[in-house]
Amino acid sequence: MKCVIPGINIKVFGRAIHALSKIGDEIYVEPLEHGLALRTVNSSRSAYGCFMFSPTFFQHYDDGSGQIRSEDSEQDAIRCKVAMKSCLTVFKSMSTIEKTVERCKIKLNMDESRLVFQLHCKHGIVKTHNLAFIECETLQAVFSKDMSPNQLTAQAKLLSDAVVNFQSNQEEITLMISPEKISLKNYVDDEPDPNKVVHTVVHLAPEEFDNCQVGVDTDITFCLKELRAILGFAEALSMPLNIHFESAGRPVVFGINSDTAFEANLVLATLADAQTQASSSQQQSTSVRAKPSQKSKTTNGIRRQQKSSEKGDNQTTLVDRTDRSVPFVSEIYLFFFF
Amino acid sequence: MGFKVTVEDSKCVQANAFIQEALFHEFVMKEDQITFKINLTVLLECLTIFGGTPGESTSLKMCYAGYGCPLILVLEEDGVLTDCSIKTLEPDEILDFNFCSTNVINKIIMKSECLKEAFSELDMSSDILQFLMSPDSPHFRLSTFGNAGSTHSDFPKESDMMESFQCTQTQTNRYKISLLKPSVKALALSTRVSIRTDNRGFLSLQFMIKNEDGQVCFVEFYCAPDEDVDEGPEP
Amino acid sequence: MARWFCIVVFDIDLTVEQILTVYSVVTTGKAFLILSVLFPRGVYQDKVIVRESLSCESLMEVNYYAGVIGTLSKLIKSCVLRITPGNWYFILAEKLANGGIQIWCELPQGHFFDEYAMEGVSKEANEIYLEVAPDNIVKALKTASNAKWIKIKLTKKHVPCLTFEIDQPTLSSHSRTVVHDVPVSVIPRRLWEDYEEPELPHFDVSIAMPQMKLLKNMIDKMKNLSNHMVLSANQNGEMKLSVETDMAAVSTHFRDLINPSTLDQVPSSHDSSPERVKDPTEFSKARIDIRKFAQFLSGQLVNPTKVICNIVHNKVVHFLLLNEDVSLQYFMPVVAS
Repeated sequence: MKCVIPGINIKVFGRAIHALSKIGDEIYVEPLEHGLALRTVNSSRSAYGCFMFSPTFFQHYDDGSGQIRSEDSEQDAIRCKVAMKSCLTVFKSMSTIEKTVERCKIKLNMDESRLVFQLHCKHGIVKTHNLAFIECETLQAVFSKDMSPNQLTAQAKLLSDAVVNFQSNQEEITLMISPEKISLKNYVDDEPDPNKVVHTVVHLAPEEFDNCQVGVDTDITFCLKELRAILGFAEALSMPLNIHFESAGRPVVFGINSDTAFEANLVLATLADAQTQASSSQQQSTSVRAKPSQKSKTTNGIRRQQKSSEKGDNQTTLVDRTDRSVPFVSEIYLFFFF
Repeated sequence: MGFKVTVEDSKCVQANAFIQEALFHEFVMKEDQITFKINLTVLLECLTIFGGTPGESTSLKMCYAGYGCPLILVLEEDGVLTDCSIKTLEPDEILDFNFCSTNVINKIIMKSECLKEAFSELDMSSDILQFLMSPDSPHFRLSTFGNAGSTHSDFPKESDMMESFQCTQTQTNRYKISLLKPSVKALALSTRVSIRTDNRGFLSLQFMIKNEDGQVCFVEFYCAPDEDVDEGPEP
Repeated sequence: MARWFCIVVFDIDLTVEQILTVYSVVTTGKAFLILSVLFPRGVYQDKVIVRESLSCESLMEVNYYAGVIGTLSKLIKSCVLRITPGNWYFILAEKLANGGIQIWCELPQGHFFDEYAMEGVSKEANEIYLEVAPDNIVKALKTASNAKWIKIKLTKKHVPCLTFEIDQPTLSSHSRTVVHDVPVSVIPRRLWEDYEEPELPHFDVSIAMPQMKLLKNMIDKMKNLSNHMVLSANQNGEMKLSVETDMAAVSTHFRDLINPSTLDQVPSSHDSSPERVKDPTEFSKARIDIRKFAQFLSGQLVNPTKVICNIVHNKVVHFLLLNEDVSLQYFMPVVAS
């Protein structure tokens, strides 16, 4: 695979890596015919981020498929993963990069198992980073955006202004939607003492959104830290965010489309409440099939206290970290392909 | 005549800062040479006690009465007076790196600007920093070999950042990164830097620093090559 | 000029007070909880709220108010908020747990609030004492830095709360409301005497401090040399800050500082002691912890008008910060030499 990013798009690429770095520890790189995919997933498999850069994003794009077919028809296209920290070192200081880098060449060096980033900068200076990669399977989440009954489109600034009202260490927030009102509140049920914590709620009007389609009145709770990652990206580029979701327990998708140049998607698992528990647990058994080589990744399950919808029912159950038969958090469906 | 401050580490690296007599309003010495050892942190905290507010000038007077006496600093800014008395210690033997210009094989003088970025972004997970200097491409290359993989920064001799390029032989030398990283402070203040290596692989970095009045001071670093490393990983 | 306003509600009958006094003996701290069981939630009703838009000057007041509480939040994690018809007080009583620090901050409500309605525990004791974390208030007010209006209410949600309702400006015509419920705990009447205004001793020296910014830089450097320093001053406008270690002795001298004449007006608690005529050039000193002093300086009130330092030789260091109507008193613990 060989491609060249022109100077003007380096900002987007670098910021995409910064956004992905706030989600997972490894970047899955897959050059495809229709573009270069960069993906990541967090350790508890409750957040998945994907950036797809189409050939038009690049000054030059060669996914390497032509070469592979001629050499060895049995060998599949290259899929590999690189440590996130390594990728970040290439794009560490975005302000310097935006000022000095004229173009960036990316290529896969199969002989030495290196993903090579070559930054051609002003004054003839060239910076080369040879990052070690491991071959792996495709990481892909299966999700459907268009079928979601609830769809919102908001300018990044609207969401940033709303989210700034929450404390920077706030873990999860709840989005409550109805045709009249859209609210965000901080989720406190997993605090050691919810009564000692400030409760904050922000009310937004549907008219503030570029598009507001409410199919089902619902509340969904998801991780704010990961949303902030993609929100930061969208705000830096002044792009609107599309939000697709259904109800508690079903994943929420945050998407950014830049016409034909690139597409970004962040899929977050949402907290399941008592009702959806029964139906989703059945689906869980077919969801995540990890390949043997993937099992080495420890699943750090998120501890959740069961949110009881009946008043007076104060039973709480803490999920055992290894007990995945009754997960509270509805996981996104991840399939690992050969 | 002037003021020279020397620091060393691990008997492998030495840094010297020179402040010539001309930079002082008054410079009176009763002996030919005075040498003492002093705690650098304490000295720096005292010299910067007023914080250096822009627009305000601080005056400094330094007095030393001789062997065994403390160094006295008197600083004044805007009517406020600070006096410091810092204990002096027996000076250690200073290393002589024996770096002379006749043994210099490769020499580069360049503008500090581009080197500043390269040095501040060094992959600190690498034990060593490798200097490649050559009459052939890539001419001047800095490399690290860390957990992320290898990183190379190439500076071609045609670059407008190069002021002088005199390399006669291809030389690759490795230095412990922890010993050279502190030079980034001097680099950040400087406008020009001279990089020289001699026939033993010893490195000399000289930084030219200009103050607000246009007066010039020099800081130099000498570093011995790292002998522990074998061939090292290839990129 | 239009200002932002506050409504505080705490509505209890006299009969309830009697029940409270009985129960408070037996069920410490739970009197409030019992109250909620006996009476319907309707007791805690909001009073009438009037909305007004804020002018630019008012926004500065909001930010200033947040700054005052911000000063406190840097010094202490939790303190007592005393609400009276005329003032809001932030109090940190002298206790071992506080490391010898004592704080008394007075904000006259008329300066900040457009509307102010409150009812205390009873007609004779028309006050409320709450325990609150000032940092939570600061964080809530930070989101109000360019608000159209702000309402503060004392409410009972899952726990007693100081509720901040903020109307934020938006690009469109719609209003955006943000509500923060800051949990507080109500302090029962029998503990109120723990939170009285500290008695000021007869000070040996009273002097106006030099510029805070300069001091802060200096103390940050001295902090790296030693843990303790000696603060000395005299009635002749001179102040000295000194640090001494094995390695070095550093001393800074300030001159031409003002000695406020209020020293004579400070009420003396020892009326019997003879007033000796003191040599104005004689220094009074006290040894203090530099880090605590640095903390105090970093949490500075934004643009205070005056900071006065009062010293009782080797015993007490007291700072008084004055800015328009707001006053903050800070007692710094003194370390033995």
